[in-house]
Amino acid sequence: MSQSRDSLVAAFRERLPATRQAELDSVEGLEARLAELVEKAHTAWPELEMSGATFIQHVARHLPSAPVPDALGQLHVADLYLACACATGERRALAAFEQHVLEKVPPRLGALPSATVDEVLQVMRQRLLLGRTDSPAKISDYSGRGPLLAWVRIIATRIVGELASQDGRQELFDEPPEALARMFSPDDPERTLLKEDTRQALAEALRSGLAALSERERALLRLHHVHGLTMDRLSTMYGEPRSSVARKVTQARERLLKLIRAALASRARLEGSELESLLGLVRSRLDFSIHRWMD
Amino acid sequence: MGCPDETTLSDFLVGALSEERRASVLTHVEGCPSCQRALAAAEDSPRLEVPWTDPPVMLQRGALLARYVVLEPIGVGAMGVVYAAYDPELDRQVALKLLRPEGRHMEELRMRLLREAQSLARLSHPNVVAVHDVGVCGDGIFLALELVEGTTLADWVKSPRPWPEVLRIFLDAGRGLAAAHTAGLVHRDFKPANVLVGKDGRVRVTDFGLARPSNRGGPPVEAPVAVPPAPEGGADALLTRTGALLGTPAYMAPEQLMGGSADALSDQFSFCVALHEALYGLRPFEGVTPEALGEAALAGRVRPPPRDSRVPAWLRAVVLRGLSPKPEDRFPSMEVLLAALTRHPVRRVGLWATAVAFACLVGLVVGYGGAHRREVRCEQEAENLARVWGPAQRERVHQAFLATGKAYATSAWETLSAELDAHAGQWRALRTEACLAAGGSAPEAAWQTQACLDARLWQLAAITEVLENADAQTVQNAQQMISSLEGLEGCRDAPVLSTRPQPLEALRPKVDAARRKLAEARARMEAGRHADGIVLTTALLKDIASIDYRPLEAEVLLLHGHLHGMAGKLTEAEGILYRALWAAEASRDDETVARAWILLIWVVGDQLARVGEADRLAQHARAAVERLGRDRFPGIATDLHLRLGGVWLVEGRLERADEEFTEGLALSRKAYGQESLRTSYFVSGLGRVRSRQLRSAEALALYRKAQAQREAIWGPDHPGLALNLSNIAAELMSLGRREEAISVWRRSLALLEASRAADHPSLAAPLNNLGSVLRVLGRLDEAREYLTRAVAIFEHSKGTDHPNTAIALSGVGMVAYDSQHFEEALSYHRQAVERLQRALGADTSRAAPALMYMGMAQQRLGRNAEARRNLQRSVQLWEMENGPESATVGFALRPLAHLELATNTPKQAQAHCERALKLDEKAQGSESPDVALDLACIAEAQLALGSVDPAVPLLERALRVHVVASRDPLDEGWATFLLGKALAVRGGPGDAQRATERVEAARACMTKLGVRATQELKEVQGWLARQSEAPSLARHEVTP
Repeated sequence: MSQSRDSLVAAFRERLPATRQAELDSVEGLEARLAELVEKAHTAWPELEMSGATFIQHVARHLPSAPVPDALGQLHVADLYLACACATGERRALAAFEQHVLEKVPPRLGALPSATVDEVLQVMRQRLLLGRTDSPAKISDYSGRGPLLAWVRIIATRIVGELASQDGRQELFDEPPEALARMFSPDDPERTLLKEDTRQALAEALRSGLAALSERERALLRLHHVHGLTMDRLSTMYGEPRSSVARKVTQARERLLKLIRAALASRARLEGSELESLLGLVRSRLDFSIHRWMD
Repeated sequence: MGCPDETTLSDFLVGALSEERRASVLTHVEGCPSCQRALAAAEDSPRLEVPWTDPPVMLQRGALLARYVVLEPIGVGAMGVVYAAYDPELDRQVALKLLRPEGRHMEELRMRLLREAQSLARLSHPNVVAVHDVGVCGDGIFLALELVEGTTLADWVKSPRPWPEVLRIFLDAGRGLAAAHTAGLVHRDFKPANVLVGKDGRVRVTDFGLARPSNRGGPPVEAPVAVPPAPEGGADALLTRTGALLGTPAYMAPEQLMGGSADALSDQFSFCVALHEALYGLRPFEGVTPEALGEAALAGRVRPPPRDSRVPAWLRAVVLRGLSPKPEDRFPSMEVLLAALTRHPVRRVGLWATAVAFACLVGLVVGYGGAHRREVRCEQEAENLARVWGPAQRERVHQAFLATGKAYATSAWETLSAELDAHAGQWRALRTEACLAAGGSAPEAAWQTQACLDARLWQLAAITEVLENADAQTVQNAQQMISSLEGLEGCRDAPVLSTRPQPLEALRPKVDAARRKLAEARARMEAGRHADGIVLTTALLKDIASIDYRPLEAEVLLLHGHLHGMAGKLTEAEGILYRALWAAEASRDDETVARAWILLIWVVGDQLARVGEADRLAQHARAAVERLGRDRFPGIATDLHLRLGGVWLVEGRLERADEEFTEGLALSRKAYGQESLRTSYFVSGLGRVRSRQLRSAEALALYRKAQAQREAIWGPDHPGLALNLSNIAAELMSLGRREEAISVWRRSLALLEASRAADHPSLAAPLNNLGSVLRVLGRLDEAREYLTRAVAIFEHSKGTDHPNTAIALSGVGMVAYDSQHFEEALSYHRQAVERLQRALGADTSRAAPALMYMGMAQQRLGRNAEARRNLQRSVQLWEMENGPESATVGFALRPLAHLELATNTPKQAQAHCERALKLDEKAQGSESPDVALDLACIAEAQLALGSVDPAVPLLERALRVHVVASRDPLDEGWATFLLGKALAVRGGPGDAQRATERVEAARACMTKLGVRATQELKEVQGWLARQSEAPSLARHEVTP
């Protein structure tokens, strides 16, 4: 009993950086806290057989910088446990990773040919799950501070980028100019179609408007309108209150509209009502179009 | 500086970085689209569950969607793409709108869209864009819409217009909206961009709320259209959450903007916003965000009219009422609003259409693929065939055939698979050719051909499905089943004519299912299971009542009628076939029209033998076939020849039958080849003509040829061989080859009895024939049994007055005659004559044989005057029908001669017999049984005249013929007796001895024939008795 109680703390201590060893002395009920973590992990993944000590050593390695009791509370325990088990190469862990994590990656990769998706997944399996003789599998680097899926998805987009730049597969992200112009054909085709020159004028105005925005404004519009990050998330990323970020997004959007209006108005051919209707179109399609233009 | 690693970004997202680290990462991220994308991928926001980066998959020019050929995209919408497309069947352009609902409630949404689109399709109003067709296409649905050339109201109002002109256009649009409301449809997104002003001046409302989720009933789909405004960034939330266009809030009623439900009153509000905008050049409410707009609308803050506006106050009042914030304050309906708008007469305005810019066909032409890519695609499209007749189906059918264990299964499979392969090959070749041609300079015709070919694939599919479940009877009749596969070349040569009517796409699954059942029913018919088939078609008629698709009704009725005809229910069949005809005409199904006329010819002209009507039916049928094209539909054209030939035979018009069969034979050889089943029908048809012309040797050769053709296709055990075997036997009989004939008949009867019920109509003919030959052999009881059975079957299946029934009846009369029951015989023959005359008219030559038999019976009864009248009448009828030079006349000349002999006018007898001999020698050659009869007849007359010397060689020659071509042993016995008698009279060296031998042989022969030879045997025995009384014969004694 005392043997086992000591064992988790001992394992924890063994892997904790020397600089933080002293912290442990002041922590009360550490063994119980660690046992609680193990219990939580086992409940989440009952099918995985990994000793509590091994997991606790992994926790020690990734312990967030906050004081120990808080740091333990910040961890995504189940995700970390799964990553740790995968790093040991346990077969069932690998299967669980495949099913619960990897399968959820492709929907976030955007429109890619299925062959490319397969390739991305294959590279990910190699990179994340296969250890080398000199280094453990990369998945052991997962810190447990954010969701495992988010971490994996970030890696996936990186790999997509790599694949795109190697083999000259640049076209993955490139839009041919016609496609940009086509953007402004209206949504319902029994209706009016913009004339070709009007469409080009719009495209040009949007292009110049975006170029005139600050980098921060463009980033805010892109993150929110194109990538769909919520105001709460932006608030976290920007370290600002939600209302403040929201105001900035709205301001950026209005500024873009003004810039576009100015660019369009400078073209002699467009009269008042036509301009208004074009702007209405821009407004209503803003999110859609920004995404096409900014990528 | 490189991008932060995944752990840093992940920590950045959850705020786990130190403040300075966060700031530096943020700075990097703001300038790095790749990191932004990575962060977006990591983020679990629901908005991204929609694959927003998925561009709609664009269809290439020339791609097929249902029967439509894509021309070019004319726009991309929130839920799909619209293409200009071509409808090859109706040869017109349409706008093809593809809707691809997405998200969690996709299936539900899809069904709702389909229902709405279908109700829209039923809504026919001049001011609503017509929906021609609605169908399912993968996960989505498609609408084929009227393609309107013109502009939208949004463009139209851009130029300033006088208010009366504006009002007139809006009144039309309002009528369209009102019609939709009446039909229970709500538009939900009425605005100027959704109103088309056609080149033809017609105003049409389009884009009914199909692409938008309904707020009424059912769980919301995706994010709701409008959400209650959030405290901050409400408009943003609205825009971002849907990720797609919302429609234009500017036209929405406040209740819609607040997320409430849309109804007819919200449409009225939208209508008035648009009308306000068109009248004043301004929208009624200020504001760009939905909240601002909604707030202004709810507060009733309508912009004041511009100072220079000429819009009358009454009109403004009407519009303002329509813009009331509370729905209950608006007009109760669009009709009431329209009435208010028309209360004041609108001055007619001049032509305005000239000012309209036509923009609807402006579109993007997606690049053509290279020639090679088209080739590959064409091959792929042609591979649709593999779903119907690919290696898998082929093997399944083969196994099904083998599993029946029937002797003829292997040969049937070989022929069938070869024909199906050929058909499939032809389809593939034509389809690929058309697909390649569709890339050429004049693609319309090629598209029509493709559509036509694709529509014909179901026929093959329906047949292969039945074949895959083949039982013994299906295997037996596989040949007939595939005979309906035709018209492929017609698709190439005249696709519009050859294209079968097609159901709405949404109906297609039901129609296809019904057609598969129809193919099953057809299989029953081909298998001779007519009652089973009728059960199926009867049920099918009930099933399809709910489908309401007339071409299908025509197809089912056609088979229903055919089955009734085959089952001998001829009156019903006639009625049903007329119904099929009407349904086919109503649905412009030329093929079924032609088939119905042809079957009517068969039922009315052949089976019911209503002679006068056949000619008219024939004209109708010929016209229908001409319309289809003989060469394009050789199957139908040959059917017509076959049926008509049959009718002309029934009517005794042999020349016409000859022409009909000859013409059909040539067409069939050309279209199906020498060795096809169809060709064999014409060969045997000609055989029937020759048989009726008494050119037995020719008839036999033709029947034998047909037999060889059929055995090559069917193998030797097929019941289908029975009929032709029976014909062969009949000709063998005419040629006096009695024993052969009997064995062939027995084989024929056995084949039929193995597969059919005891009273099946097809048994009648062999029973009749076998009965006749047994009668000739003196086996009268057996003969009577067979013949009576045949009469019963004929009466039951063809009716009492049908020629076949009458002739069978006459056969029974001949048994009675041979049984020496002359009164009974007379009565049978008299009935036969009466029935024939009722069916075919008083002067029908078909009654000649029965009249002749009446005469013979009457002679036996000693009523010579009556006998003479009937015999002369039969000669006359035959002369009328076939000419005085016809061999058939000889039939009646011989009994007439016997009458002359009996009435002591041997000179006339000799003349009759000599004429008969001349005719028979000419028609049948010098060695036919009839010639032998004629020779004996002449000799008998000469003996009666006392000139013995010429009689002997005549009789010797007659007997030689009898030996090689023995038809009736009684005739042979009688000639033998006559020779004996003649020799005895001549009294030359050895004559006495030979005379005794002959007469003894004759007696033996006649004794074997029993009752039948009673009369003749009596004469022989009387003669013998006289000889024994006066053993030394006077040299020139003449026996009376």
